[in-house]
Amino acid sequence: MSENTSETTGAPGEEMVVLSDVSKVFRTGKTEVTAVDSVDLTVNRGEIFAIIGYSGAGKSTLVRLINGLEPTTSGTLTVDGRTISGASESELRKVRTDIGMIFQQFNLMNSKTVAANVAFPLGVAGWSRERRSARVKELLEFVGLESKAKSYPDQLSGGQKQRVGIARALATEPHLLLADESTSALDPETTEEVLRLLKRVNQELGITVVVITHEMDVVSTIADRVAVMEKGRVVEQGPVYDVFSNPRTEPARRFVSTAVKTLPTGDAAAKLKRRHPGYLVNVEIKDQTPVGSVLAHIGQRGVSFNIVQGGLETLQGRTYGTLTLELTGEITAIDAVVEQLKTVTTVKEVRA
Amino acid sequence: MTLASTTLAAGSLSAASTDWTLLRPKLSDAVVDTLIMVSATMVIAGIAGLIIGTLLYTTRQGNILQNRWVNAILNFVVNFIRPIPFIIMVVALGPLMMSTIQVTIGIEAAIFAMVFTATFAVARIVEQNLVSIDPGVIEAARAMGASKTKIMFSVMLPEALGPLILGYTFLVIGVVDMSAMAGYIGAGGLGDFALQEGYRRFNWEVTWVAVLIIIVLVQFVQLLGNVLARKVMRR
Repeated sequence: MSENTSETTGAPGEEMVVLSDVSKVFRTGKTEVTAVDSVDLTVNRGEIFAIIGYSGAGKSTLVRLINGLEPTTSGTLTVDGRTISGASESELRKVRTDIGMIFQQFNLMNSKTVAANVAFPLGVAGWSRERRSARVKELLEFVGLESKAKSYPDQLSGGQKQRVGIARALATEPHLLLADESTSALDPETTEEVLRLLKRVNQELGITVVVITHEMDVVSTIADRVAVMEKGRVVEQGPVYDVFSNPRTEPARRFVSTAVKTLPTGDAAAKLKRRHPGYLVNVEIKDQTPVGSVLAHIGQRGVSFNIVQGGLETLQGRTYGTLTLELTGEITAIDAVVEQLKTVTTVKEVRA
Repeated sequence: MTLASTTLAAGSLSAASTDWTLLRPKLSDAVVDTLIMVSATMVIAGIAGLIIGTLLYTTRQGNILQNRWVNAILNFVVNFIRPIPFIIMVVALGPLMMSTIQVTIGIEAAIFAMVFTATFAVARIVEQNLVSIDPGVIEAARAMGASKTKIMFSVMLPEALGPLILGYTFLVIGVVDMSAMAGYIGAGGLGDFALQEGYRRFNWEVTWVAVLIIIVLVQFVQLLGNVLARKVMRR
């Protein structure tokens, strides 16, 4: 695709989306709901930024503030150097042609063919008929749907519909793509296909992508940085590896536990202890943590070990996760082993 | 002897002597009058109702032209006009007709009353069909930077076109019904023909010929509407 990335006004790493102290309050009658609560957030040019949270966390509202579909209540929000907060509807219309958006339910027009759906934003942006049809062809090739140009959306599968959605969102050569739960209505295989396409959009076209999701898999597959949202607030943010290998807040920990087995607690710990009478410890594994070399020598102390549970995941080419070990032997010898493990990683005792 | 049995007896007497050579030109005039009244009403009320119906929908809470007052006023007007029986409306509109088109009888007056009444019926049908549009599609169009008029004409109306065609088809029958009452203010048409040449002369044959023509007309319109809607909705 002859995407003209030189048009992009800044270099990678510069700020693309900046929210400072942004809030959104919905008022219905006398009740007020704060959907987005004093959020500070920066999305850098050229990255894939994920916002993860459970439903009702305010992430869908947050993404709608970015392209002005919902006006901010307070705070300032800029995209590509242009101020969105407080902008008029006609100013926002211009800004929106530079921001693509895809949706959970695809939101394609059933009365129009695939080609007409993709051409729609070009018509809005005032492209000539010839340029439009050339661009549509190019876009459908990029998403691999050139044979479906004359089909109607209801003749396509979910994955194909989302690819049309992506082609439509990219039509006007935006610098920013917002993906609102774009894979939540898809099966795992199709999800992967759409995520691969989003990765290509980011890498080949240099488009900054903001992904809203409640699925840990989506974040670990494509995102560079992540913000975790709960009750309208961003509770944690940073590079994906840093946040998920060392979650500091409860929601972040819960998301990590959906991807890998973490420290067993409560019932799970009790069951585990019943099956494994030895001393149970949970050790954190990160990158090159030399847990193995410690374990290789514990036989000399008369202690043996067994791996009873655990999970490791690779994020951005780096490993993280935890292993639960059962240690058997003399109590003093076990203590010594635990002390030795503590010199290389974080060790926690499993308690029921 | 009751009135009904008198009518029946007289009817069966005159039925034998129906003079179609005299009636045929009157009948074809009546068909033309009905077609004029119905099509003029459908075109004018169709457009006016489309505008009011679209406004009813778009001024709703959360929609692109959200406006509580405009919406409430339109709703009130529609609800005020709709329950008035047409036979009353056609005479009650007399003063308004006098001050605008300066006639209160004849085909123009009938069309005036029909347009007035049908507009509000069309408006409701349009609103009801637009409500079924997926709000996500409208949001997507907004996200692409589409203007409000662009959204109305290039998204809302095309997305609801199939059901709209069926809604309009449904309304044609109501308008034919209205045209039958237009005879009351001397507008002619098939309804008037059935009453004047049939019922009043105790001629059931003539009455039923007129009824039959109306049925054929309505069936044809319904068929046309179904075919068009199916084509638009591709199923």
